[in-house]
Amino acid sequence: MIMSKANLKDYLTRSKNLFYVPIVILFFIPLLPIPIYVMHVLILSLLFAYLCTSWAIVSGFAGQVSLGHTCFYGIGAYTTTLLFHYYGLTPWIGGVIGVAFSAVFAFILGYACFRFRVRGPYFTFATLASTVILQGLFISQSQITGGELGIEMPYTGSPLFFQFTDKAHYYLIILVLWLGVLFLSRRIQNSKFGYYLFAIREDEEAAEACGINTTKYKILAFVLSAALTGFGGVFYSQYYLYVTPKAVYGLDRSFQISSTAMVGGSDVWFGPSLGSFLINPVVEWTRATYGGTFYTLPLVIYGLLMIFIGRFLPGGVSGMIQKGLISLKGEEGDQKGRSQ
Amino acid sequence: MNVNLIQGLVNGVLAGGVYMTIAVGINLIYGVMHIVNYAHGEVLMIGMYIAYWLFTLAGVNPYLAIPIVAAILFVFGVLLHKSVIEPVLDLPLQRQILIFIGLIHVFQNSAMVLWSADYRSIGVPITTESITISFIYIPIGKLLVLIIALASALALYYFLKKTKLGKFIVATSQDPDAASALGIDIRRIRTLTFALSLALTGIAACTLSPIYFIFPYTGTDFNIFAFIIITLGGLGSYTGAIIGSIIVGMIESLVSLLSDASIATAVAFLVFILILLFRPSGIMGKRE
Repeated sequence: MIMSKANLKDYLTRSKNLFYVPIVILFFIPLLPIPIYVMHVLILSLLFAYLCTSWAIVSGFAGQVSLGHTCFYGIGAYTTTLLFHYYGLTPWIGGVIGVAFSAVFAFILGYACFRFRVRGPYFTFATLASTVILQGLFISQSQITGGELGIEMPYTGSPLFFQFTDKAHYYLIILVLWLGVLFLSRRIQNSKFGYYLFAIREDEEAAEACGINTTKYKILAFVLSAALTGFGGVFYSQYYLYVTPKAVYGLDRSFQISSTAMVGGSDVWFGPSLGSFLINPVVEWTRATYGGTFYTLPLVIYGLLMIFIGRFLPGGVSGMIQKGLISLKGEEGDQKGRSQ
Repeated sequence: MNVNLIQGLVNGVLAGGVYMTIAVGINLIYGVMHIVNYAHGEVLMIGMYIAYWLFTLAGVNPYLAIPIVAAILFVFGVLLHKSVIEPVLDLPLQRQILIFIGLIHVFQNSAMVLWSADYRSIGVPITTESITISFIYIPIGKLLVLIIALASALALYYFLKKTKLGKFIVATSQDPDAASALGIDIRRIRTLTFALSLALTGIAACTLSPIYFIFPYTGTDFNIFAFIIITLGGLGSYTGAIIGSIIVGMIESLVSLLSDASIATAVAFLVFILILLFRPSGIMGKRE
């Protein structure tokens, strides 16, 4: 059926309620007989949607581009794994401690950088350096962390230890997490806090002159974003049951999070998730189909796509969609004006 | 003085030379255009592959291939600047980073498709040997990197200070609007700077190719070090890049000597963050 413009507009006004329908459907997906691999890709896409949305709170909304979010991801993953490995502490509690550590680390780094006015590319590279520092630290303390080979999470398969035999449970957990962060991100975008962050992104000096305590709000955004990312790391360690410094702290992971978020559009609450759902399934599919050397050919195209989006689509894919919606509404308004 | 300590200092300077050879180029771009070329390491990787194929197919010694590789990368720089970099200059930091991550993807994966993930190396006999001066080992390969890096840095310095074109570049970096008002064609100067920086990277690629493995991801590590070093020295500061290279090389080498090599980089980068707190725009950087 081809939707006429009037129909579409009708749909858009009703869409506030309809918004909840796909969410409910998402919860019933595990009941369908889908292959394990597809389930895995879904979980991965949701995890990245979660990470990218968290990243965008500080890097998209506040414009403080961090290439060091893997720090917090790694701290979350390692804290839970080490606490369980050595003390048998259940990851449900270990995870909370991991998130707390991520937040504390973010506070120290954020306070130091923002208090002393480390800005722009200087801040970006300070965050980058901190991932390298943590990676080096975890590799060098190999008697505790297993060094470059990483460390295994003892497998119990018991929900008491945040471990499940069925992927469906992981799916439901990451789905809830993602919806939570999505809701939070949307709330922030429409709140006073969000407006402060946008003001800081557009012009920090002007924001300061308006009486906004920029240091405070930047630190707040950074710590919040880091704590959420830390919980992403906790989930990662429980899902894979195996943590290595390269996998959690690697620079490519940092680049992956930020580029996915920016392709989707990191200044709107749904943008980063959109990026993740567009990219991860395709990348996984090409990896599975082509494999080996030719797997990289689609990635060349993906790189070109990133250059194209960065160049021509301000605000990424979601920016384009929003623009489309606005122009659609604008046309409707014009027609109304003419008919009267 | 302890022989070990002297050896450590020598290693530090040599490591600093390796970092300097790529940091100077990336810094030149920042000075004139105020963007960080995040894909600089990937350009280095391409240069190293060119040196490798010249050596393997035509038997050209990588040190003699310097002018050829520099010329190829100069032309490549002009093309890259005109097609991708120039339109990006006025965009916000976020979008620039996205575009550069895209470039990194394109370069790395193209190299993967064209030349596979194999580790390749160039076996020039001289580079595997070392000079021994009273128990102190100096690997010739790294010594050559340092000498050539210093020579090209000096040549660049001379070019910027003494020639007319160089003065145009300096003027553009100091105040683009004023330079433009005085009749300097800024667009052309920027293209030239970018191409020049890539040519410098070509020189670096030739000197590094005999002592490092060549594979599609060679650039990644060099990238990280180059970013940190130019930020430490002060983005855009010419002397800052050289000082930063030596500091990072020295800290790394002394830490490896005194405690543990695996934590050396971490300590150097920690020092970087600490210095940044006191000098938020780097050691030699101007307050922005």
